[in-house]
Amino acid sequence: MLGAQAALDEVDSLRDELDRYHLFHATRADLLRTLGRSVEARRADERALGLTANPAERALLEQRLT
Amino acid sequence: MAGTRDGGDPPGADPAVAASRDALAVVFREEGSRLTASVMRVLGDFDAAEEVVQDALLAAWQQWPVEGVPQRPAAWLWTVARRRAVDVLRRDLRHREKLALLAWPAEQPSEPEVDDDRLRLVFTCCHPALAPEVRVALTLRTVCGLSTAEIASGFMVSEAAIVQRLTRARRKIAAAGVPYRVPADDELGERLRDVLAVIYLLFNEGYLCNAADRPQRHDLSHDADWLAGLLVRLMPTEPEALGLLALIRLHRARAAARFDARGRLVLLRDQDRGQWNRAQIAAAADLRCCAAHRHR
Repeated sequence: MLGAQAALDEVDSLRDELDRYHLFHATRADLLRTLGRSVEARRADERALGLTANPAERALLEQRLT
Repeated sequence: MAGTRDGGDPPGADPAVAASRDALAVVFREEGSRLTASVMRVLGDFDAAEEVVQDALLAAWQQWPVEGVPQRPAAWLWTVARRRAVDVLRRDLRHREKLALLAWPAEQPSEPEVDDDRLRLVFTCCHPALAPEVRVALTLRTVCGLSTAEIASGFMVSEAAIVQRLTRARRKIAAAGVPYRVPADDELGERLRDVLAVIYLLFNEGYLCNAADRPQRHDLSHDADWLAGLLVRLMPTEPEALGLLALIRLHRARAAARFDARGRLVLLRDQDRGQWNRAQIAAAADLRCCAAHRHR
């Protein structure tokens, strides 16, 4: 669990540069899920979904949200 | 059909019209930027080259539905564009001596020399007189044919911001008379960073594109791979170019495992590694080693 928290801290430090990048939010979601923070994970996945038009990526994110 | 009032097609129009428009879209996607590159080389002027190509496309748009799609659509476009380019040169006396150049390209060429034009054009478009954040966007739009929406997603900014950047850049080019000419060999180095960014973003858009109708664009990935290969040939000792080519090839080596039979994404950890192309991975790893050795 320490690994995921350390990774999340690293990822969060990039927010200013990558806030509009869907994979930034999808990565956060993945780490948050690992840490058991499911409400925040869901919010991050939703954010990622709002930032990509790619049908395959959308399908994957939508599946995670259902 | 010839009789439409506003230039647009009514819904459910003649299937021959639709077929000709589809054919044009395919030819433009495959040939558009190469055509622009070649015309640019002859005219030495970006805007004029774009205009010539647009004229040729418009001619195809109007004539193909009526006369049928030509047997060799690409050659047809090249011929029309070449004719327009001659007209432009004739209008412009300063370029009169260049008329001789137009013996070439007589037709859709397939020699590597012309392919090289396009890499040169990428270098040409990454002009140091323009702001850094503009150069790459302008090149992706003009030479690589990405839409403003695709470029915006690559830069992680709004499409409006990209449109504004491009408009400002074009205004500056016109007002300041930025001299677009193919840079000499000793000028290539200072433009390398931008050129690498252009090729990387082109690949990025091909790998997973920002369009609702398809997940990836093989044409763009292929172009990026090929441009990066040309770049390595042009600058064989440049580690960044080697590194970029290695990166692109490593990603492409996994192409077969990235989507399942229903077109859904398969995450790296779930991919069937037996579908990865071992030979391509080994070749790319060699490139990566070369790059690492040469890194200062």
